[in-house]
Amino acid sequence: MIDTIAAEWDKTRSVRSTRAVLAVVASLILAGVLFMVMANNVWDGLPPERRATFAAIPMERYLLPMIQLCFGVYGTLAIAAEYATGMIGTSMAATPRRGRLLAAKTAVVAAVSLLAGTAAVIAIHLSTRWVVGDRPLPNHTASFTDELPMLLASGLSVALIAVLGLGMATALRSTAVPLVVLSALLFVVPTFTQFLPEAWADEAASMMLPALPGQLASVAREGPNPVSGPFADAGVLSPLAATAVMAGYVVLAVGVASLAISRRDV
Amino acid sequence: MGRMIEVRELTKRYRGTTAVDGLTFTVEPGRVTGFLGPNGAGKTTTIRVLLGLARPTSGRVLVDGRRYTEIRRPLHRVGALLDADAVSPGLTAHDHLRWLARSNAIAAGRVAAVLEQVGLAGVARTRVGGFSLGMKQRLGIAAALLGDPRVLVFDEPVNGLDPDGIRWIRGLLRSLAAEGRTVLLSSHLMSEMAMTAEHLVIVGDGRLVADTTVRELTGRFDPGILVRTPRPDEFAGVLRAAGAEVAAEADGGLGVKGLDVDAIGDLAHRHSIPLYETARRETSLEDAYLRLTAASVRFRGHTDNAKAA
Repeated sequence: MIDTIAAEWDKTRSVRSTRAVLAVVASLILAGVLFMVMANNVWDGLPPERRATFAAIPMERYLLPMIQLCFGVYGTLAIAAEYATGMIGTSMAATPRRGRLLAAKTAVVAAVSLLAGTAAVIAIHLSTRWVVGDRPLPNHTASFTDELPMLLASGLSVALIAVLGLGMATALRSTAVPLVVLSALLFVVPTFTQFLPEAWADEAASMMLPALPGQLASVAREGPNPVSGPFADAGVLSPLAATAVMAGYVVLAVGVASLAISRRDV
Repeated sequence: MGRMIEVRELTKRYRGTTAVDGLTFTVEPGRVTGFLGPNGAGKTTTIRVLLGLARPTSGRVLVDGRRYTEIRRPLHRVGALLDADAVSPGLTAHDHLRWLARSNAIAAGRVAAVLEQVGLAGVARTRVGGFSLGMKQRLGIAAALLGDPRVLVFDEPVNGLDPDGIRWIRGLLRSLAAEGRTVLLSSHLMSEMAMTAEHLVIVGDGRLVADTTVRELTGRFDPGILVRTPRPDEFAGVLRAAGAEVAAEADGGLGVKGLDVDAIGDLAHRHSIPLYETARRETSLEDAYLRLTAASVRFRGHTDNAKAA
C-alpha cells in the first residue's frame, strides 16, 4: 500500500495538470488581494452613515467555490487523464488489486487538496486582512483564532470536492461529466433548493456542498445570510450532522467508484 | 518448472462477441514464442486477461502456476508491453519509469539502467508527448524490463520501429530468451516471427490454429522443388513413375514434391532429359500462416462472423 501511495505521489508531482491547478489557485490569492484593495478604496471614500450599511464578504469565502472547483479538476484528472491516455492499464498491471489503487489515489488526492486548499484559504484570509488593516469592515474584525475553525472547515471542503471529482471520474471514466456535475453541485443545484416545499427547503439547502463548511465550523454570520447559492454557507445542521453529510458524500462517491473499478474490465 | 505462461481453456466474450474461444496453450521458458494471428484473432484479449486487465468468461491464464492478480509486486515476475502510446504525454521518460518502479518497490537505479538498455538515456528528461512511436515502443520495453522479470510479454512491439530498431528488438528478445526467460511476442506479421521466434502459437478467430515450431510449420507446407526442362510433359511422367508428386506450373515449370534435388538430377540424366533449373523453393512461412488462418476463418464463417478487436 505504501508503495502504491508513493507511486501515486510521484505521478501527481510529475504531471503538468497539478502545477497548472496550483498556479490557478495561487492567482486566486492574488485576485483576493486586488479585490480587497478595491473594497478598501471604496470604504475609505464613504461617509460614516454609508459605512454602516457597507457589505464586505471575506475573500476566502468569496473565492472558496473557485478553489473547490480547481481541486475538483485536480481530483477528476488524477484518474480521468489515465483513462484518456490508456495509462490506467499500466497502473493496474503494476497494482493488480484495484481497490488498493483507488485507495492510494484517494489518499494522495485528499492529502494534496486538503493541505493546498487549507493553505490557499488561510493565505487569502491573512493577506486580505493585512490589506484591510485596522479598518472596521463588517465580517473582517474577528481574530484569527476565532476564524480558524471556518478556515479549516473550508480547507476540508476543498478535499471533499476533490475526492468527489476522483470518485465520479473513476465511475464514469470521463473528464467532462464529473466537472459538469461538480460545477452544478457547487453553483446551480443549491439555488434550486429554495423552490422546494418549505418543510424540506432548509434541510435540503443545509446539505448542499457550499453550505457545509459553515455548519461544520458552527459559524454564526453577522447580518442576514444568503439563503441559497454558492455563498449560502449557513444552515440548520449541527457540526456533527454536517460532518456526517460530508462523510456521506465521500462514501457514496468512493463506494460507487470502488464497485465500478473492481468489477469492470479496464 | 516455473517461469512459464499457461493458458487453459480461456474464453472471453464481450456482449455476444466471442474474442477468445476455449484457447489452451503453454509458453515455455528459454525461447521466444510467437503469438500470431490476424487482427481481431484474440491475441490482445488473451494478454489482457493474463495481466488481470480483463476478466475471463471462463478458463484462466496462469504465470508460474498463479493468477497474475495474486502476485505481489508483479513487475518483478512479469514485464509487459501492451500499448506503447498509453503514457501521459506530460510525463518525462524518467518520471514514467520512476513511478512504475516505486509502485513495485523496484530499486531506483533500475530506471537509469533500463533507459540506457533501450537507448533512451539521452532523452530521459524529455516529455513523452514529444516522442515518436518508435521511442514510445522503446519506453514501453524499458517499462517491461524494469523489474528484471523472468516472464516477458510484448504485444506488437515492432510497430513504429525503424529497421534499426526492429533489428535491435529481435536481438534483445532472443538474448532475453537465451537467458532462460519466457518470452511471448505477439504480432500479426509472420515475417516478424520468422526472424525472431522458435515456437509459434497461431490463433484465428479466438481459437488455436497451430501450436508448433517454426521448423515444423515450414516442413508442413513444403512447397517442393521447381524444375525447368524443355520437355516438361515427358519428364513429368518420369517423375511420377519414380513416385513424385508433380504439378505443372503456369510458366511451364514443374513443381515437384517427394524427391530431392539429387534424385531429380539422376532421373533426368538416366532419361537424357535436359534440365535448365532445379531449385529448392524458399518455404514461405507467410503462406503457411495465411493458409492456416484462412482455413480457421472460413470454418468459423458459417456460424459467426463477429470479430473482436
